[in-house]
Amino acid sequence: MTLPKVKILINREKCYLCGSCVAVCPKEAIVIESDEWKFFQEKCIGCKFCVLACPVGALTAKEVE
Amino acid sequence: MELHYDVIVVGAGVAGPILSRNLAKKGYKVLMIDKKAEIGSPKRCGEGLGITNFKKYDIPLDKRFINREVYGAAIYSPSGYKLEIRYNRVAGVILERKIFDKMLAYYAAKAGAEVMAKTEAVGLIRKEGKIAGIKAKHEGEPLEIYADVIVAADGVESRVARWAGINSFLPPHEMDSGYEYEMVIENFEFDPDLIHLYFGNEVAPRGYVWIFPKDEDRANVGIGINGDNPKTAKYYLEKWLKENNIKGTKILEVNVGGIPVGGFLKELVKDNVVVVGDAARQVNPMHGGGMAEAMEAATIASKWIDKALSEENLELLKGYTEEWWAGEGQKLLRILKVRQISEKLSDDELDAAVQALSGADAEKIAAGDYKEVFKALIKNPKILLKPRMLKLLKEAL
Repeated sequence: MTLPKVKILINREKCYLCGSCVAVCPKEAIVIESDEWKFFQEKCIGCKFCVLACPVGALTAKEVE
Repeated sequence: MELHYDVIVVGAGVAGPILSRNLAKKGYKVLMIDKKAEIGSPKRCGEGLGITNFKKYDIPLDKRFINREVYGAAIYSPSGYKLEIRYNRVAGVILERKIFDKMLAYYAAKAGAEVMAKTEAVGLIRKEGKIAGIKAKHEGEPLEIYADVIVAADGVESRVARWAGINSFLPPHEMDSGYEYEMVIENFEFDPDLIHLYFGNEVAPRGYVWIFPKDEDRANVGIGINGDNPKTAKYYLEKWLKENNIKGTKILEVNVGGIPVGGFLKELVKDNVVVVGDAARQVNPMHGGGMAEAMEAATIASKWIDKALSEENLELLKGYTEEWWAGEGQKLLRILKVRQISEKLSDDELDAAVQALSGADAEKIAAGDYKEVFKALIKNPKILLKPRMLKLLKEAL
């Protein structure tokens, strides 16, 4: 089963860089490095676990072609 | 720049400094790095720690990191029934983590470890197919840190373990999503000598709201909810504050974080990489506290790293996995089983449980002896009237 391809968008004003999204990502598609939140589209499998786990709702998933 | 150590520790939270201190004391050349410019800040923690841990893990009771001593806990059911556990001696303290963590790093440094803040691990060094150290960055300057043993104490978002090939992916169901204010509380009654825990499926799904007092009118007020909840931890905390008429107009700090609750790493060691603390998901899945658990893991891990290095046999590192799983791991698994039952209780059943528990049972809750609590509940007339709950409790035993 493949999930719809999504792009994870961040609201940087809301994000505390707490790393919850990094922990729940099965594919290391999200990384926090040098105090910066980074998303790697090619690794994302569209599970949206990161969106669920964010304690402040800083992440959203946008469907992409 | 190229550096050489016996042990490189990534992360200066709780597990990292305890482990570094223990090994530096034994005479090993240890370097502990942390990506934060200020060790201890920002924190992700309610800051409550049981008093017995200080002696057990040889940590001085330094007033500089203790905000307040507490004497017990009050547990509130959804309808407001209260279970109070109060001792006539200090049961725990509410720390100031930004000072506590820094002091733990200081104790490690005093024991002989080197410490570098604002130094972030960015990858592993591999030589001839073996992990030889950590690639790091300090203010953009690349560092190559070679070491015989690499310790991943890099928290819930651990990357070091994954680089080493350990699957530390944490499913959202095995994480609690946490949100907390340090705030001034006005026009709301709470005994500042106790910690306060509020349960309820509408209050905090799977978790609870906590008040951990730092002063008579200042406290950490936080929440943990299931990480796969479509609503956010912030949403539930704001809702609870509003329902209790607590104004959020005096907020001194906001803390956010994920809490591993279950999903303890099976593989705590791979080759020469050792995983401890939140990175290894070593957290009590009932209350979500992980400081004492990190100290325990660090103590066991440092013992086996010492053995492996002194006998020049890295295979001995696996002794840490075996020892942790035989004792602490089994204990946490039992607690997880209890949590998995208690999270199924309806508000009505939670009310009955809190009403049914007597003072004596409360002592058992405080001691973490949840099984005894369940046994007591099963015999209680209030619970006997609730067949679904009775069935759930029996399943747990």
